[in-house]
Amino acid sequence: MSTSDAIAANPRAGGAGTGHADRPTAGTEAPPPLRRGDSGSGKRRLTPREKKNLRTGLLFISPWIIGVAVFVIYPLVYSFAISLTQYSGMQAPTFIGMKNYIAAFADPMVHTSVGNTVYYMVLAVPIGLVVALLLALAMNRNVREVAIYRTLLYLPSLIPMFAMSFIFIVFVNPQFGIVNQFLGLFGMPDTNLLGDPRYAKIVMIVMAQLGAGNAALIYLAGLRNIPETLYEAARIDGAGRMRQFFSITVPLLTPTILFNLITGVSGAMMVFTEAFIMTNGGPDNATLFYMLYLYRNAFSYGQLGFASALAVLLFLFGMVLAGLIYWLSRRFVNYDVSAG
Amino acid sequence: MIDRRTLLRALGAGATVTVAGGSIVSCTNRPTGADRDPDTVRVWGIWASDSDVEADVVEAFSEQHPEVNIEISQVPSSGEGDASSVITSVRGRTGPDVYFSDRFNTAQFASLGLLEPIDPLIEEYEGVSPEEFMSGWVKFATDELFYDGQYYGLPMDTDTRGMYVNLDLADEVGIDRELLDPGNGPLTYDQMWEIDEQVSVQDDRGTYERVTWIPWDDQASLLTWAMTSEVSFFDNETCRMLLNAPEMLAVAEMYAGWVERLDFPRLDAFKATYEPPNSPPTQSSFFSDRQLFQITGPWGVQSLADYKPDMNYTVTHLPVPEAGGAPVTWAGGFALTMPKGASMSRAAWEFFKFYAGYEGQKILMNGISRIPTNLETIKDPEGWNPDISFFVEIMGVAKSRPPLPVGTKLWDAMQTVQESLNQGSGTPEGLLDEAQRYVDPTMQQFCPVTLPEGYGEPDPNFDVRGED
Amino acid sequence: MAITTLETETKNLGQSTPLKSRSDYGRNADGSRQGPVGQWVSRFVMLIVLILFSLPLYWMFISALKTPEELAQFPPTLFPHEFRWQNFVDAVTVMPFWTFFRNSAIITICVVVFSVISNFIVAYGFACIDWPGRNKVFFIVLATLFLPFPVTLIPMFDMWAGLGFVNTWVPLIAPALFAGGFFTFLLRQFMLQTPRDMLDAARVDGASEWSIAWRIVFPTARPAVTVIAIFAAVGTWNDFMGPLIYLQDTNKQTLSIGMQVFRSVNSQDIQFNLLMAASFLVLLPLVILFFMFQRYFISGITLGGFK
Repeated sequence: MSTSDAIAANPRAGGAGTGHADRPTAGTEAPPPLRRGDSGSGKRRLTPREKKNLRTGLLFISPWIIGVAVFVIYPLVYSFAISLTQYSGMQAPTFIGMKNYIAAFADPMVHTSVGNTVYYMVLAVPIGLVVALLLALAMNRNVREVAIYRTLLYLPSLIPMFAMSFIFIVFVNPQFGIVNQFLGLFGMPDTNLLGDPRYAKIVMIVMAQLGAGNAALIYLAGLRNIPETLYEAARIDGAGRMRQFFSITVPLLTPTILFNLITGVSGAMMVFTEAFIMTNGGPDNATLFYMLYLYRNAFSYGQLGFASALAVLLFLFGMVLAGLIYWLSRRFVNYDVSAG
Repeated sequence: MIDRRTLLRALGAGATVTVAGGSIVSCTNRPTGADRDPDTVRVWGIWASDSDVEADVVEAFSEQHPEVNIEISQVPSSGEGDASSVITSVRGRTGPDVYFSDRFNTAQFASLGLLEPIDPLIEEYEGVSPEEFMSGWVKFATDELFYDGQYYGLPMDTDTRGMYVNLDLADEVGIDRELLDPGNGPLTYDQMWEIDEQVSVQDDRGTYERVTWIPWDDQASLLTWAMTSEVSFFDNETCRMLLNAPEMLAVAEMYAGWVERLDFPRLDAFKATYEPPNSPPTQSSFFSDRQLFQITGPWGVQSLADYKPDMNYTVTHLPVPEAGGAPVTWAGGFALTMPKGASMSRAAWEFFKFYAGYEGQKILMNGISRIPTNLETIKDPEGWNPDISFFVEIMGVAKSRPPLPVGTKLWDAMQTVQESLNQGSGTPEGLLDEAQRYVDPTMQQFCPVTLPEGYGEPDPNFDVRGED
Repeated sequence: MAITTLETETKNLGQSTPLKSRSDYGRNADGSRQGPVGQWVSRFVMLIVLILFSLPLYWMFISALKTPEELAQFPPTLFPHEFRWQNFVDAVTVMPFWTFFRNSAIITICVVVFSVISNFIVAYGFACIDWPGRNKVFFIVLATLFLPFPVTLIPMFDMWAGLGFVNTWVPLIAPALFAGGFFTFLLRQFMLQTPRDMLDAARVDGASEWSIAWRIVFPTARPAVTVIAIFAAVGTWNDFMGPLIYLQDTNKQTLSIGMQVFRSVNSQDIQFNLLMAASFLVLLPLVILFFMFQRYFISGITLGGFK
């Protein structure tokens, strides 16, 4: 069933539901025939039981169907439409064709922001994957104090990004920041880390690692899915711990790694709050991330049309990236060993 | 079927409660335009640190108009020309009736449909033509409020830039006082460097302990140097931005030379040490006798009086390229505007006119140490803080930025070029090309434009004043 | 992609780690046993990692207690000489902290309640009712997980502005009424573990799907429900972009924006120690929540068997 089918099926099912709600006996009546045959003439007919289940099922998922229509499909279409206009939100939009897209490709700030975002993504995502995996391994240890590990390693993930940004502003304060003083021990001169284009992004990447606990929880769920019998068998065969890790743990975790990779990439594409609070895009636009530039165009400059074009481009980029990851995953992700 | 009904009921109830609750809060409570209470004026006022002075203006107004209720709030902005608060509020129908905003952004805001023209109010309540009414304010300031044939606000303050001198420090290193006397004209860049040899002190690791000036600090900026070098940003004939024209390039190259000579990272560390971000206003490298010159506006007089009352200082002109060059500076300032959805009521207009008019400006400008734009207030010797008289005198040589509908973008672009030059992340030529590509395409959407006659030039009114 | 395999009907195997007996301690997850030296080496490494991860919280807390003078001291003191509890009092009086706090709390509670209800209903539809095509539709649920949300930002703002809901909490709360991809996914994976026989038996007894859902499945799904409730709470409490765009009035703002606005408007007035004190108070409810429901964090997340 395609997206449009799922959506199109909803009003009918919903309509039938509301219609019958008036009559207490509706459930026992034969449901009205669903017009499913338009395209699927080759399909077998549904049994009455299946029809009833279909109706009930669709009814249960109807909040989601409405949600997708209102919060996904409509915005997608609307974004694309607005991106073809000059629109401030306060005057009627003027159709200008592809001009916003042409302008986006020519805009040097777009180039800067794409560069910054890719830089952040290329560093933060792989580092994040590794850090989260290490955290998950620590959280999964069979030692008495594992509860302490789990708590302390996860707690920083609870710190709201805005509060974390405040903390880091204090941490890297050139005058009395602990990070600066620590680096000073290694002979680094007094530097305003957030005021230096070389370091500002690095500070944010490091900061992001403290939030690795969420991804670690997902890994943990994956780790606990790996049957212990595999390790036992490996030990009998004389495999060492490293060998076990790379031959059993990592291959069997690949689906989980994939999941974390995709959420990591999409998170990195939208990095915003820390740059908004800590540097407001500076210094020298070194933390002008794509999302920040998009936000500025939409809400600081009132260029909703141009900002929508940026959003559509980001959407397309995200889809291409997802496709790429999917293609890679077919080569590397291991689904062969069942978890039980 | 009970399950289905309960389900629908639950969902329906949830949705209804949210929507209905929201509607009650939002729709019924959020009139715009003429539906608003005409006698309540909601004002987004001046920056937080001077809100007490604004309160005095409101008090004076309320004495004359007890029937009008003024509600003031301060609104944040994350940066220059950031319209996000007003944009989202106007869309949310909770925008103010009167908005104290950066004048340089007015044309751009107006072009977005964010502001209401005030011409109809002038015609209705004043019974004169907008041109005649607006002639009561400094011309370049009203020029900045003019977009597409109409006026979008009344000018408030203006400001010029001067160079404050720490005289005790100057005496200590033995700088000729004659050089620092504005009566003898501005210093040249060469003289600045000569002084720098005497003043600046670096320790054995190269860390600055005392500096002469910081050409990118406070009101000193690439834009300032471009303005004082009389570079034009815009060609009115061809309707093109001139950000990568040879004149601008010459300024950028000169500026890049300064950055290199002063060694930006070291000077930045100096600043971060003696005037770190978030430091209290009393803690500045200028106040702590570590910096000879500070380029800023007339409000600097106020901070000195408040935080370093015992400093022995004077103010002189900004440095210029050539010996014997005439003094030059530039002026900006704020305005009152009416965002879309404002009540546009008689009461709002009365407050608007009072605040930007003779009495309002007199109270405000004395309190915030800035220059009035209301001609009557300027001519009144008590219309402004006498300590800023140097800044008022140089109004006769003060240029202003071109009132373009891309004002915010232009400002951003110049900031970007400056930061990139400071960080050495590009060549002047390449950066200016980028700036041109950033601003010009947007400008082309508005072309052709008609800018007011003599825009950007010093105001004719001040020649008169100079002879007083 | 994980999605394709998740979409194919996979019986979740509920591979939860069996409770360890005492003798199991000292083994690694893979069951190997380390020598006593190795054990202490790895404990030492862990200790360093733990210190690194605890540092932000610790530093925030002690900075919140220091006097401005001590904060500026070099080298910094690891433990405040003088506990200035007054900082907390100052932090909540220098800005309308409790207004922000109350607003955040109301929004968060609404979102949590609505998210749990809507996601549970939808997850039940995907996990416990067999209807033709449900796995294909579930594939779409997973696809929406990867939709970059910026593409919806402007249309949503325009829609809420058009409906007159800007500067209300509606745009922040209403979406929770309609299930989202991630929570539905987590819940569904967990609910697939519910024994079929139990559901069928209840159906034979004539129970409606609605009552099966709430009376039978909901109690067994409690760990997963708790996890999504906490995720929803944390996500809403921490949300920055939403309040940034939709809320303007100070008395409607949440902690995230309220504190940021306050910091930018009064940058001269707010001291770092007060900022840290306020940040600590922001974090406190989340930490309490975490400790209350900690055990569910491990058992409530089930990704399902990958095949």
